[in-house]
Amino acid sequence: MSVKLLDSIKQQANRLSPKEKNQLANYLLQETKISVEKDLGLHGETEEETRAARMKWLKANSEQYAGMYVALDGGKLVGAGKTIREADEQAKQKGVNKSFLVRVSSENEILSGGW
Amino acid sequence: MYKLNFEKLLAYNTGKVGIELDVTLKLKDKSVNFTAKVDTGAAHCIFERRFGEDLELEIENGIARKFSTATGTFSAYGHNLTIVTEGLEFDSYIFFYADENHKTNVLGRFGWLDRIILGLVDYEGKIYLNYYDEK
Repeated sequence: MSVKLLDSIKQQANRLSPKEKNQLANYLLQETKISVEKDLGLHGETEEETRAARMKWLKANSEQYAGMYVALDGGKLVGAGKTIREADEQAKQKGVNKSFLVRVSSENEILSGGW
Repeated sequence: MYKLNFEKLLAYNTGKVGIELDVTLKLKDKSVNFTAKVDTGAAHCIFERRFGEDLELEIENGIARKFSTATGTFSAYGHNLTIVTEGLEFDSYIFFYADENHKTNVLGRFGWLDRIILGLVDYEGKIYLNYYDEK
């Protein structure tokens, strides 16, 4: 959006009554929330449902995919590979641009806790 | 010559032992703020248990994993939440220590470093950050 258009919208908003400004603010907040959720791959379901579906998938499939990266769309596997790039590219080929990317580990794997 | 572009340039305190960044974790309408050290040797982001509890997570409901360090091993539980570091926000798979006495907070490789581009000039105390975007 151009600066000019944004300034024009602000000027128009200044002419609104307090009640109308409040309605506009609520509308913009709702739109922002939807946009952020979409960016985080939280589309469609509620945030809680999406996260629960991801965790359920990880708990059920960690041993099978241990050592790999997976791309999840909610509780659905849309990509898997040895690298994050492989998993991400598979997801994108399936039309999922914002998948949840996770490096999966086995229950028996000892992970590095840091230096 | 190689060139990378960064959206964020931050100064950090070179007088401290680690390179610390501001972190926010978000879950539903709750958030918690603290600092964590960049640690390329850590497999995942691992944070204090109390931060997960502040977000009303049932820590033990996460995915249990064992981690090792030079001084021993510890258990932690993985959860899905949103992490924000210096304005860079994404959903990730984050671990919380099982032991409430474990106080080291680290930003590790899987789930953080693999999502960003990181530039470091330690001599000047400068850290450059950007989302990884292949475009």
